[in-house]
Amino acid sequence: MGKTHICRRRLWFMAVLAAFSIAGGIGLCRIQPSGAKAGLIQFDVVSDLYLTSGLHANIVVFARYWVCQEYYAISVVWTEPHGRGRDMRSRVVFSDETGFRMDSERHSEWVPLNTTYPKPVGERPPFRWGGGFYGGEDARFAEAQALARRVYAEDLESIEKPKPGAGGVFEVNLPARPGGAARKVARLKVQARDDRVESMELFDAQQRSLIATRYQYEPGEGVPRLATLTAELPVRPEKLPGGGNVTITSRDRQWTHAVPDIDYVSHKGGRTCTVTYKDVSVGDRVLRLPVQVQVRRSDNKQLLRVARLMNFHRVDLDKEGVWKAAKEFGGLGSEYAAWVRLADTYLDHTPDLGPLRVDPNDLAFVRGLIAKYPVWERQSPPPPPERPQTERGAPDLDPEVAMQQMERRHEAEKQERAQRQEQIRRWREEVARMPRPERREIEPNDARVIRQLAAHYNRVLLPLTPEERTELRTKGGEVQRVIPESQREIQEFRDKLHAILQYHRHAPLPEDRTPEPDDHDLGLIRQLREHFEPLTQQQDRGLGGQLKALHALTRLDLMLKDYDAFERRVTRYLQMLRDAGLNEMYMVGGRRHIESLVQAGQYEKANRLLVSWADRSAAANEADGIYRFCGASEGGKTSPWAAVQVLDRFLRKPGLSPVQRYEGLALRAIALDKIDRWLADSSTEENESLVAQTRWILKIATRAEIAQRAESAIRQAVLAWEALGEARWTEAKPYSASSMPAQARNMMEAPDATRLQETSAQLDQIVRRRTVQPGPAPRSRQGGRPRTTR
Amino acid sequence: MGRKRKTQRRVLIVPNCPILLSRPPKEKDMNHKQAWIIRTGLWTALLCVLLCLSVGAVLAGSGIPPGWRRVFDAPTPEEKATVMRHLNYDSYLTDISLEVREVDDFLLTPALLVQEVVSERVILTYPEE
Repeated sequence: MGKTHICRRRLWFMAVLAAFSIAGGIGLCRIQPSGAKAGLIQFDVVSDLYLTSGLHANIVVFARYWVCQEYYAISVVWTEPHGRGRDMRSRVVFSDETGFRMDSERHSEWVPLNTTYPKPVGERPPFRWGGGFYGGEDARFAEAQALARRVYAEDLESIEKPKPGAGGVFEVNLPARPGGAARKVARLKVQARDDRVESMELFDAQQRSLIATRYQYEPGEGVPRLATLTAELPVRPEKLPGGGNVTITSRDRQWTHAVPDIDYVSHKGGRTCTVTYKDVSVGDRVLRLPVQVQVRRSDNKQLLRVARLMNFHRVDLDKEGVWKAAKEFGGLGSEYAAWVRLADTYLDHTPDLGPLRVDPNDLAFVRGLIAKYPVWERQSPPPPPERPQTERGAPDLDPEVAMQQMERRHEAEKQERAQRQEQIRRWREEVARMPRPERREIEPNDARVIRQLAAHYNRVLLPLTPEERTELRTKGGEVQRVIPESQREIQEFRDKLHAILQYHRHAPLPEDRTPEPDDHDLGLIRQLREHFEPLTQQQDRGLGGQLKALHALTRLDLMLKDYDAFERRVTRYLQMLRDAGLNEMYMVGGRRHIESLVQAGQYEKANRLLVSWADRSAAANEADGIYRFCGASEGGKTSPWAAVQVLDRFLRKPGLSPVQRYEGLALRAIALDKIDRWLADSSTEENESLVAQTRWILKIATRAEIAQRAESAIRQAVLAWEALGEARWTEAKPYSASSMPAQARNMMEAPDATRLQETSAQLDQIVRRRTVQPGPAPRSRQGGRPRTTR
Repeated sequence: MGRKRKTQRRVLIVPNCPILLSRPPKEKDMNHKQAWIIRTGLWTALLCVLLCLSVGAVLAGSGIPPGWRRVFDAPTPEEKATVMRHLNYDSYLTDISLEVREVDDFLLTPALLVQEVVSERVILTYPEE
């Protein structure tokens, strides 16, 4: 009995010892930075996105988030600038352990965006959107990948606690998570000191680096307080599906060949992501929360996006409550639906030509109608001479032979190009001598019937219902546009009807005119103004919700042609953007509203707004932001006059470097050259927007004055380029990669051109064009690279 | 004795040469052989340099584009075909779509970052995007 008692004591003693030793061995179990349970948190995020590949645009997304350990929800309430297909389509997202749910009221027919994807979602498939419209539903894979890469405090338990004040580098092989959850990270390398991680690198099973993170802490004693987290993300391999088996049909034969996958990369240049953490009071606790996320390209430090997190507070909601709150916050509501109907009717009017008044199957009638309006049929250029098959083979394995092959091919291609140019020149002369039918006015009734028939044949040729299209889209397929042989004639008729409308003149039909609101709709517009007005000041809607309401009001003002109210609201809208520090969006948003006033012929108001907008834009923005706006499609290309006003003011600023000054002058020259060409080009009259812009500009300056300003601006820009010295052939070298054929770019491994180099290339083209084609205005007489005009 | 020391000193001129260390030759033979080795070594080195320069000139200096060089470097016909296919690929629209995906995925980043802070025993890192 006594022995048993001693044994039990021994066992107890051993257990206590074991517990102490485990506690001691855990070492880094309270390591920082690590999370701690804190309930459900609600916050707002303003994300400033700078698109660089092709689109060159600044987009700001306003969203509200609800986050706790078990689930989260995101509700996008607004996107600036709104419309033109650039608004974030993933409106509401909810994710918990069971599934990833998406909802989009605005795109309710788009099934992938209104779906719950059960978890686990599986591996991210090969990227199939190259050349297509990216589907936001793939975001679920991003979440899965992030969770598969999380590191837990348990993962660091095997690390021996370093002595106080001493640090160490530790490598840990990670086991699978309990429950068999997918885990991407297989090994981690940690540098730790005094219970805090200083840096950490994660590797996958193939020992490839996934991410390298550095942590910086606030100085001081006690629990380490994280100040910034800097993550380096490497360039990633990306598999692009090659297209499987493709069947090619030529005139006399058909063959199938397999197009294999392509190994590509994403995150070109790598990414450096910096997260700033601060103490935030949330309920009765102070949490160390991320307040800003900034992402740059690692190689050239170009800013790609910034997210600012704000308005943190704790909320007491269950899952269903969070989903409802997210839907309500980003949702459109019945008033918004009424507003959309009014905007479609009175601002974005689509004419309804009524039922078809002729029999579309009466082919004799259709042929007669087509014969009544003969068009000049475009002539196809003669086919190029076929090259011998032997010259197309793969290069020889012997580099010397390959070089000779290349030189031979190069010489042959040169000769072929010269022959082809001569052939095309002769063909063009022949075409120019061909008689053309007279352009005439299409009778109004005929114009209506032609437009109705063309629309009807379009529907016949593409008979898919919206549901069928959605189904195809959901399954990842594409809408096939193969026209059966039996409908070839209908296709031909449709094309000819379109050609008639393009070749001959036709006056707008009464149905084309935007209708005036009737009494009922006038009353509805006034009711909606009363509804949206208070929403512009509701703090709980966040800045995005307020801007959304303000946007609705400006559109209602335009419906009523109440331009005084419109001007007041635009001023308020711009003030809100300035107060929020969205200085680049201030430029984009202001320009759009100035254009609206110009379209409406409100030149006095447009000029007043232009002056204050240009002054503040130039004062509040850095060179990078100004030049991004003036060079991108949002600024300089669509509204060069606005770009000129901003640049005129910005270039007066002291302290600009020679390169900055040159870039500003070059962009100004490009914008003025564009206006000069608009004013000289008679085809501008076919574009309503351009007509409005040119009328507005001509109210301020004469055509001769613009031509003179353009000439002077080009001369100034060229002088500034010459004054750059060495930098004119490096930083400011006229170089454009976008205009090179893809094959040549790949073969030469040509680097991407910088914005400044692309600008120099544009200026170079202008100088060349003006040298070759001297116009009535005095032109630069220099050729080749930009040179001083004397 | 004196002759032997002289021979040993000369052997040290070309160290680590197995022939000289194993069998010290007569003074006359030694001079001839040593000169031959030095001369041959120098000529070989010069030849190597010239050869390297000429090969380099063919591959790089005379204008073989770097993309094409990758075709030559590929060891098998299949890999050559893969490189050629990549050289013919136009990535302009793919780059735009990839950028839009990156931006779209970025929408989740604030949620995942805050979720790490409010989750028990999760080490703070940066989520994928």
